Amino acid sequence: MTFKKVYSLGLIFLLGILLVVTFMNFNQNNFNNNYDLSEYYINQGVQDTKSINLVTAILFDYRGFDTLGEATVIFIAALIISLLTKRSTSSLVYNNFSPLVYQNISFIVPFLYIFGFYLIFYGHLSPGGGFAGGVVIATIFVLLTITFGVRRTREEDVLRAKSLLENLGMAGFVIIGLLGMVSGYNFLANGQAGFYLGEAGKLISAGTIPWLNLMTGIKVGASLSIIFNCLVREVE
Amino acid sequence: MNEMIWLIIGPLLIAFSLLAINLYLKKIYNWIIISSSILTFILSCSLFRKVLIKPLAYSLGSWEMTKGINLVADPLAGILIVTVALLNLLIIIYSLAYIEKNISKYYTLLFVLTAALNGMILTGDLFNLFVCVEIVSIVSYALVAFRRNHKAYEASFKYIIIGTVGGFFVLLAIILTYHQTGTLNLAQLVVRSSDISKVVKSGIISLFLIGFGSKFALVPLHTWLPDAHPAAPASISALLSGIVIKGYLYAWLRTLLILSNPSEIIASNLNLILIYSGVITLLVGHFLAYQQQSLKRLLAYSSISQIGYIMIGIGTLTKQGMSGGIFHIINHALVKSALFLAAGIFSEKIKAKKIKSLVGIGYKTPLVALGFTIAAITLIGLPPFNIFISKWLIALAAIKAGFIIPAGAILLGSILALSYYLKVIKAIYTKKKENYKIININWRLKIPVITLTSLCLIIGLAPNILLPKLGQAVRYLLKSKEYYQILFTG
Repeated sequence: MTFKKVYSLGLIFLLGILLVVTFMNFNQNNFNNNYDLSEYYINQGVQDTKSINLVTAILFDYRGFDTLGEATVIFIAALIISLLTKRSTSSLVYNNFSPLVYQNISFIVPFLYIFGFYLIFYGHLSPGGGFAGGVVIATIFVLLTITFGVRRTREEDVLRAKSLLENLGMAGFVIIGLLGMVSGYNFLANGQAGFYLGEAGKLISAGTIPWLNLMTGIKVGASLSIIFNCLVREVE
Repeated sequence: MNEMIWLIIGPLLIAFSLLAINLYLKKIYNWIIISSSILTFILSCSLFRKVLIKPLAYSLGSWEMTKGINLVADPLAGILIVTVALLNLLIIIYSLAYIEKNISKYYTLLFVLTAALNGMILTGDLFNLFVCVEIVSIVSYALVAFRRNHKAYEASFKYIIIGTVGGFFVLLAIILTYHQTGTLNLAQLVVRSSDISKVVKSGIISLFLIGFGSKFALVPLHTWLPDAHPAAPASISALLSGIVIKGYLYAWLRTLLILSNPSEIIASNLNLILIYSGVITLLVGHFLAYQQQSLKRLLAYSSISQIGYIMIGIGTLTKQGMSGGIFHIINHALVKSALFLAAGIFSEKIKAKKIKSLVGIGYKTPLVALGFTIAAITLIGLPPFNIFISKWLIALAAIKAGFIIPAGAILLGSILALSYYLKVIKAIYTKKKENYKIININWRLKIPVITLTSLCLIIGLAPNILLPKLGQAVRYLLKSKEYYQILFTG
């Protein structure tokens, strides 16, 4: 056993050294590179999409199709976890906290909602976006479940509602993409299809980007809280 | 109407609305599934017809071709899309009678898998390719664990570990490619790949080979496959063996021939690696298949060996060998799905999982057993069927290119396949009792098996339906300049 461990450790070290040796002189080789694509994004991104946050511009406009794929990955992950965790033999962990905890959690939940939706709706203006906002919204459900628990009888209904919401978010993403096709352009077209881009820096600007952000936020929030709900059950 | 984008978002939309349909429109649930997969098949055929005349490109978001993500369809992509859609349709018909638990989630996963496979085949962007590859992988992990027993969990876990590590290799290769060329667009890479220095390029290509190789079960990266494919439900094993590993193979082939052209590959002796890894894969697969007692495991090892044939065909880097390899991809997809689906009927309806317990099945379910036998004979490579032609093409191309040992290995492999498939066929038609009672089997289970085996016969008797189109498909692979011209004409 120990020999095996030493052997695999040595093998890993050898591979690491090989990697370092191979990749060491990579930086010297790329002087002749033309990063015209990233330069184009930096120079033209705001004019093209009217989204000040360039990351969002690339994520939801230039490469929106990748984002659809990434959102699908989370969708599948939630689906798989709810498929693989068994329903029948489970109960929720229930803890007794001091009143301080209940009071504080109840107090901050509205603020968390505001923060989450702020991240989503201002995704094209400031750091954040659908993914980050969705995670913040999911933490609300996580907090509420940990402190107050979920009534066992209602668990199925809650999960179904969340799954429906998740499906709605995903379908909404595709349907917003289809709007581009309806107006005679290609899938996920935004500025090209003549949608109102507005003025860079205003809340209502950047065409479909805020809506895509909203759909992603709904989807990510629902998915992560489904994952949490499924994993938190304790098998008796 | 643009078929390319609908082939991806159509199945996705169906997948996202299945839950709501299951809750509120339960009566028409089956109809929606069937009709949408028929529609996908029609769309794919229409795309194939268009692509044969002229390859198509589609820019997502209406951006300029260099700024956003593109979908590109050349004849090779078209032919694979039709295979995916056909198998998907047949497997959905089969599943309607086969899957009993968690129906809604099963079909959701299946439609996402179809969409991602179509995306993987059609995409013209390296990172988008990675996203689609990961979706296909994650869905396959889930579908392997679908039965929720210990064996399935173990197989799925093994698959996750190897598949994810393979995925990291692919991602690292993509990062390096972007770092060196500043673009992810496959067509642009055709031109810019000449900027990459030789050392770095060989690094990138070997990373791609290891990453995708672990996903399409190249020996010695194949260890997950013999566990994963048998553990899944039969319909899923058919899909995984039939098209999912072929999809990875296609993705690897596309990236390889875009990053470097055939003369470069031959100059760096990479073709020797491809051909001899093919030979090793072929022999290991066949020898291990020979030892198996369980029918589905035997079929899984046989899938590994078929990857070997395809690798030899690709490794010759000639038009003949390449089109033989691609012909083999399609033939094997049809045959292996038929075999797995028939094996599923045997194991579910007659509870026969071991080869020993297959005795007398030929008299209990005459039609399905006949289908299985024909498919097995096809896979061995006997003359009137389609696999004979593709193996013949590959062997001829190997001899022409001067690879005598690989050509001999193809012959040896066929003899080995004969030995173990005859064992199965013999068990099927052994008569222990005088009168066997014929077991009633749902027509939904029978139709896919019969369709697939008759397709093997049709393609075997009239290979000229496909072969000229394959020649056309290979052109865009071997001359990547022409792939460039699909996007940037002139």
